[in-house]
Amino acid sequence: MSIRLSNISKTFGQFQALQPINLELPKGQFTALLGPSGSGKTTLLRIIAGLEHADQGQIFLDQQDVTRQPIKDRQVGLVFQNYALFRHMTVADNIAFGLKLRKLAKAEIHKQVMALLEMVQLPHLAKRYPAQLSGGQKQRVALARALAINPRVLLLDEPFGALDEQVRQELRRSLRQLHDQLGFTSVFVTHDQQEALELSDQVVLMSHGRIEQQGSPKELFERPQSRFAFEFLGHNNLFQGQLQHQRLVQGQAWLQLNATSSATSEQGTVLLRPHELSLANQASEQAHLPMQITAINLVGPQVQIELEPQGWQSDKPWQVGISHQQFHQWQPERGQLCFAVPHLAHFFASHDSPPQSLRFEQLSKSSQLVDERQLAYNSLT
Amino acid sequence: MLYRRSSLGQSPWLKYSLIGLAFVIMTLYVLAPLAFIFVRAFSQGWANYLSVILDPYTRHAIGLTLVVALLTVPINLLFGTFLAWLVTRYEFRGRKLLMTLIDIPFAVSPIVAGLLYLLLYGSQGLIGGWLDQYDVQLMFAWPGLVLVTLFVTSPFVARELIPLMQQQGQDEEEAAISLGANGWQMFSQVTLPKIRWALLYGVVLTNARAMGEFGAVSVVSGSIRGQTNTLALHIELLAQDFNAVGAFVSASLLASLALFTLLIKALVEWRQQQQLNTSLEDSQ
Repeated sequence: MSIRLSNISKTFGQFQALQPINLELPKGQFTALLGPSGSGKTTLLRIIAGLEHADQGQIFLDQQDVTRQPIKDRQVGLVFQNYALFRHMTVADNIAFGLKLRKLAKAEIHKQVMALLEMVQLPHLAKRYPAQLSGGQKQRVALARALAINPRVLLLDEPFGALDEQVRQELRRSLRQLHDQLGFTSVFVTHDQQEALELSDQVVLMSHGRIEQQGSPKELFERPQSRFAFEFLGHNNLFQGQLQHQRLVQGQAWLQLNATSSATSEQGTVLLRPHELSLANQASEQAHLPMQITAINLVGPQVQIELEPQGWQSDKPWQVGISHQQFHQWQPERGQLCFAVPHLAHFFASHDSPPQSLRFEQLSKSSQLVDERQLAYNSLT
Repeated sequence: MLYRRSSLGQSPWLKYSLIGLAFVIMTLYVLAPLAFIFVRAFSQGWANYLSVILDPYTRHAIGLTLVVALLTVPINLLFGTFLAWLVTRYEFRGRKLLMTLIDIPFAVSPIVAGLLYLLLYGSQGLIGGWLDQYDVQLMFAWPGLVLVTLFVTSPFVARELIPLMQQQGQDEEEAAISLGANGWQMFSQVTLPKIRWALLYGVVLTNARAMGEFGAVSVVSGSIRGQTNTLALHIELLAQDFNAVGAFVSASLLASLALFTLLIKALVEWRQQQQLNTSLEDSQ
C-alpha cells in the first residue's frame, strides 16, 4: 500500500502546524517522520491515520482518495505513544477488539489472537491486564492489537519513546523483522535521529511544519542540505570567523576556504562533524585549529574526545571521535594540546544559506603521531 | 532521629487515640443523630410506625419523591455525561464559560433557584405566562418539582466525570475507532467502562440530593398535601403540626432511602474489587 499526500496543510487556530506538504511513501517501505517537537510530524501522522483532518489537500492510499474516508474504514494500524491499551480488558481482549468488531467466529478470533500473541512473544500474558505489564510488553500488545485488523498501513507515534535503552533496541529489531516479514507499509514518528536512521528505509526530516529534507538514511546523514538538518542529525563543531584572503579567521585559528565560498560574504560559519575530523600534534596546511583536550570518553565504539579552543572561541566545546586503535597509539591525556584537522567541512555564508562542502587533503599518518616534545614546541609557536 | 520518627507516625498510643477521636467525632456528628431519628420513629412501636407510613399523604409523598428522583437521575445522567464529553473532547469558543456555568447550581442557594424558576415559569412569569395560554402549569405542580430538582442536581455527574475524563485523555477512544469501532461501539465498549465508577458515584450523589432537596422544591411546590408534597416537605409539615412521631417516621424513611443508595454503592465497589482480585489471581 503506497501513501501519497498532496498539498496537505493544517492550522490550529493561529498556529500553522503544517505548510502545504507533498510526500510519497512507496509500498512496503519503512519511513521515519523525524523532527523536533512542534515540527508537525505527529500532526502529519494523525492526518494519514484520519484522526485529524487536513484543512486542504488530499491523501491517497494506493491511488484511492481517502481524504474524506473516516478512520474506521481506512484500515490503518495505529500504535500510540502511550500504547492506549484498553485498561479494563485483558491482553487477549485488547487484541481481539478489532476482530470482534469484524464479527468473526469465536474460535477464529481465539486462533488469531493466539497467533498474534505468539508473534509478539507474549502468549503467557493473555489473561493479564495492561496495568500488570511492563512498558515493553505494553508496546508489544499495542503492536499485536494494531496488526490484528490486517492493516494496509502501520502508523506508529513515538513507539519507543517511553522505554529504556535495552528494551528499545530489542523492540526496534523485532519491529523491523515484523515489517520485513509481513510486508506492510510503515510510518513512524520519532524525535530520535539515531532511531530514525537505524530503523527506516526513508527518512522525512521535518521542521516548522515543512519537510526539510527527505531521503535514505545514508543520503540524509552524508549530505544534510541545511543548517537545521546538520544540527538535528548529530553533534556539530562550530567555527565562526571573518573572511580574509580566502581564509576564515578567528583569533589564532583559521581555515582555508575555496574560491567560490569566499566570494560571497564577509563572514561565515563552518560546521565540522565529529567523524569528519581528526586530531594531530601538528596543524595542517589548510587549517589551524589549536585545541586543548578537556575530557576523554572511552565508552562506546569510538573514543569521544572533548576539546576546548586555544587562542580562539567557540560557544560549545568541540567533539571529535577517534578509533580505539588510534587512541592507543597516540595515548592522549586530559590537558594536552593538539590540533583539529578537518577532512570535510561545511561552510555557511549565512544561517539560511545552503551549505558548501570543503574537502581537505587527508593527512599522512606520520604527522598524526608526534612525540610530546614536538607537541610542546608546536603549541609555543 | 529514629526516636523522632517513631513519635511522629509510629507510636501506637498516638495512632489509637487518633482513631478513637475520629470515631467519637463521627458518632457525635453523624451516627448519633441518625440513630436518634430511628429511635424516635419507633418510640411508639411498630404498629404506629406502619400506620404513619400507610397514611395516604405519606404514601403520596413517598411516591412523588421517587417519581422526581426517577425522572431527575436519568435526565441528569445523560445531560452530565454529554456535557463532560463536550468540554473534555472538544476545543471551542465558550468552553471555559460552559465549565463555569456547570458550577452555578452549586454556588446559588437552592431557595434562590426556586424563586428564579417561580418568576420565570410561574403563571405570571415570562415563559409560564405563555405556557398558561395552553393550559400548561409548571409551578405548584409536579413538573415544577422535577424542573428545580434538575437544576439543583445538574452539576453532580458532570463534576465527577470532567476531571477523570481530562486525566484519561482520548487515546483509547482513538485506538478503538482505528480498529473499526463506530461512535456507539467506542462509547459503550471503551469510554463507559473507563468512567463507570465516577458515573455511578455521580448518580448516587444526584439521587441522594434529588430525594432530599428541600429549599428549591419548597418554593415551587406550594406544599399541597396529596399533590405536590415530597417527603422532605412532608416532614416539615408534620413538624409544624407538632406531629413529632410522624415527622420522625418520615425522616427515617428519607434516611433509609439515602442509606440504601449508599449500600448499593458499597456493594458495587466491593464486587468490582472482587473481580479485580480474581483476575489478578488468574494471571499469576
